[in-house]
Amino acid sequence: VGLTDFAFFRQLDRLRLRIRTARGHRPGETLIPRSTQAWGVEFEAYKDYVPGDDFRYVDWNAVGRLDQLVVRTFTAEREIPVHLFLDTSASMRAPVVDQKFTFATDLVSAIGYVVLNNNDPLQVVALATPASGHLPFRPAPLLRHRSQFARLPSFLQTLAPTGKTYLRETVQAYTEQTREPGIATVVSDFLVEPAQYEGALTLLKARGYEVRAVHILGAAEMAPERFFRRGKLYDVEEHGERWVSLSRAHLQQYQEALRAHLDALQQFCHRHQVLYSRATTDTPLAQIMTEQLTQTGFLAFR
Amino acid sequence: MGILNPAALPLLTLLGILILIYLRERWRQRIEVPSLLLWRAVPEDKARIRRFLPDLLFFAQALLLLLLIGGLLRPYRSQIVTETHGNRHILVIDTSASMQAREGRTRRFDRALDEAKRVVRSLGPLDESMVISISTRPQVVSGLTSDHLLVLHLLEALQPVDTSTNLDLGVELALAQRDRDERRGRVHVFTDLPQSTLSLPQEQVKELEYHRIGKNDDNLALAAFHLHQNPFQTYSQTQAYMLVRNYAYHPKSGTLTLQLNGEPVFQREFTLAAREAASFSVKGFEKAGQLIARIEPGDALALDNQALAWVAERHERRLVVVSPVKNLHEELTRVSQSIPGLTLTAMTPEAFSPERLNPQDVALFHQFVPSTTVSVNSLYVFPPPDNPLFPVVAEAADLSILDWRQEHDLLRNLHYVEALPLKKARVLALPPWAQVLISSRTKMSEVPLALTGEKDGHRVVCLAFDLNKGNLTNSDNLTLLLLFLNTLRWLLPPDPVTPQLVPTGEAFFLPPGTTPDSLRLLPPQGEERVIETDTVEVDHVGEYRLGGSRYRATLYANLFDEMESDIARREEDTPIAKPTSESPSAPQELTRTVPNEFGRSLYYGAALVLILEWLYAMWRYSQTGAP
Repeated sequence: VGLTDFAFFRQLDRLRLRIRTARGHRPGETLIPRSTQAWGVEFEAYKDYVPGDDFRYVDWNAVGRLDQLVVRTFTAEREIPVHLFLDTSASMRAPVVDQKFTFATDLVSAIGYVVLNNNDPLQVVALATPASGHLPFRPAPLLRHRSQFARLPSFLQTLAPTGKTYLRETVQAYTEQTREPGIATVVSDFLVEPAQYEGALTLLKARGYEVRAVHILGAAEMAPERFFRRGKLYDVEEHGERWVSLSRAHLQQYQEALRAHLDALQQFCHRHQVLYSRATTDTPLAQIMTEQLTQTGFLAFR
Repeated sequence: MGILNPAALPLLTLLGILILIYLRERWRQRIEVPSLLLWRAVPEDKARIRRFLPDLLFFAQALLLLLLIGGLLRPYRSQIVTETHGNRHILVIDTSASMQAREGRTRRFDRALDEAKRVVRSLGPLDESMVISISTRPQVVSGLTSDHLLVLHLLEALQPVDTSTNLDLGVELALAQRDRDERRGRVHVFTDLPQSTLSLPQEQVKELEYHRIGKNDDNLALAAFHLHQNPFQTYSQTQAYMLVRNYAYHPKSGTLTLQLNGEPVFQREFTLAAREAASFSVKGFEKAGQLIARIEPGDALALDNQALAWVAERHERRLVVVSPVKNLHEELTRVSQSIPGLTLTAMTPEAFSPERLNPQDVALFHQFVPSTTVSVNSLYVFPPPDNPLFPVVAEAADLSILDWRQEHDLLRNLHYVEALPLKKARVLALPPWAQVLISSRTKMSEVPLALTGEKDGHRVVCLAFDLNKGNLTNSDNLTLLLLFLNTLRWLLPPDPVTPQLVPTGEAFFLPPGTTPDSLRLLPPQGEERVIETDTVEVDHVGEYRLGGSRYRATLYANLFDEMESDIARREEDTPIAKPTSESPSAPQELTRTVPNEFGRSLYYGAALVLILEWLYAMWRYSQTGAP
């Protein structure tokens, strides 16, 4: 299923972001439970009249019954700024057979569509390698409406996976320039030392973001024996080399290392109330959007 | 099982190259991973990777290579096949002069043809026959064929010639053809010669089907007809000798007539005992012209009853002497005065120019070689160093003669060649067109003292020793004088009007520079035709006329061959041997081993492997993303 499939978009139309703590300052269309405002659509509660309240919202029936001036309050409606961080390091292009980067951009597009469909502002940020004189990230234009969705794939097509992964540094640089937190979703393969992703996710939490992590995992990473038996491995980011022969014992050692890495990431997210979801490249995108991300609380049906 | 093209074996080294390519690719190729973070847990293993552990693709490529090389090797399996063949019959037919002898009202040749046709008609449909005619040279009239009508037609068209025969050669050729492909066959020989004349091994002779034709011995022949006339003699000084031989085994009488230009000049009746000969001599002819010697009455073989010769007119010849030595001029002037018909022109090298020579002249260059080629026959004596014709290697003195070619015309009647004056000589390098006539030896090597040859169509003689001190008219220098006269005679160009005598069965070579296709030949029998090669095959007795825009010649062809004239030779030893093996009549079944090549199957296999390998490679690429 791809982004050119209208049936897929119809499935996306049924989805919305599931909000837990994030909220914006500007009025929007997202109802904020347990948060009231003086005007609105959905009745939330009564409150005693205080001078200055709008007489139009005085509930005269309640006044007749209670002989007391009460005013209706409504569920607050706010827009939720969504910040989608896309890892564009070289590791996203390897192994080639996995096509992780293409998969990741498609996933970002799909999530972005859901966000814009709800008329929430969307800021897609490509995390790049820090360099002097340049921002360590590349932001897409701020999108606010569904009609602006077409600009998102155009931006994503200009990206190419290259350079090293600097999650913490780039996220820090971005948050320093952003005034309004919201939902921060990091889409990455997280193939970095734990200190890197822990630093990035902790920082986002500290700045008041509702943090989510989407872990892109390639099929070749999970079962490398299907693609090679022996050879010289080349690290596309660090440019290191390692001669590996995939014997049964060696494969087991690799699988254990992978499992430990995944467990560490998942447990960290759990501890820090970061929503975590794992998306493998051999899973259909529609299944990830409608099943995986809804089950893990990223999305909800309308 | 074997291979037909072992030259392709070295291509097997390509397998080694394929392995090297694989090892190199393994070392060069790298597998891109997003990070080595997870692979740190896996120990590095270089030693295992260094081992050559080929994959399926390698085996497919090696198999493909092996199949292609296998195809180039042209492998074969030996296959035994059985074929049914008819028998081979090789017919050797003598077409020489003696086959024209008459046996009653028919010629021997016609009888031989009848016998050969009978053999051909008796052949089965699968039998193959071949016809070889033999005279001086064998000629394959018909290759092996089972078309008996064609062979009969070719036999009808076969004609005899007036030449000698070389029956051994024809029979050897026939035996070789018979034994080809290990087939059985029979060689039939149709000739008038007795079987004992064959000089082949007795086993081979016994295998022949020998058909001897003719028994008639009635033949008188002109066994020789010589005319003695040197270039300086007139027709009145010419002497003709004729030898008449009776080849019959009984006495015979006849008349010998000699005609000069059609007019009888001599006639003599004779009677010869059985197998006897008589000679006749005539001289004092009154004019030049054609001489015809003829024996009458006719006998069984008419070819040898007549012979042609030519009494030539004496022409004035000029000897041009170019020498810086005045004494030699005077000496040669004295010699030339004693030779009728020879005039001498003497000059110094400074006064010489090639334009002063006529084509009929003979030039003598003493201590001088012209810078340009002269277009006359020439004698070079003691050529100077640095001459363009005979490279002079060194000087020599007091040489002694080591060897000489006694049979050459230049040394005819020279009994004391050692008496030549060799006080001073030049050591010459032998030009490629020349041959050594007289040779000597120095300490280093053998050196030519006299050499002869033909250059640019003209005869050349070179004497490396000097004769300026040799007084030719002195009795002590008789050998030198004879050598000089012989040389002069050999160098004199033939009179273009005088017909040339050519024995039948030989080829006459046209002079260099003659364009064959502009010449027409009128043979004694048959019609005038254009000559397409530079030789004329003289197969019949009589007069051949050659005519062209720039060249004309007349050839007289006579048959003086005792073997051919002796038409009734008797068996010298045992009678005709009968064939030892049974005459093959039924078709023969031959079992033979033939190579059955299967290289093409290997190519098909290679194509199949190539397709499978390509499909596998594509599948693997789709799986791994790497080739």
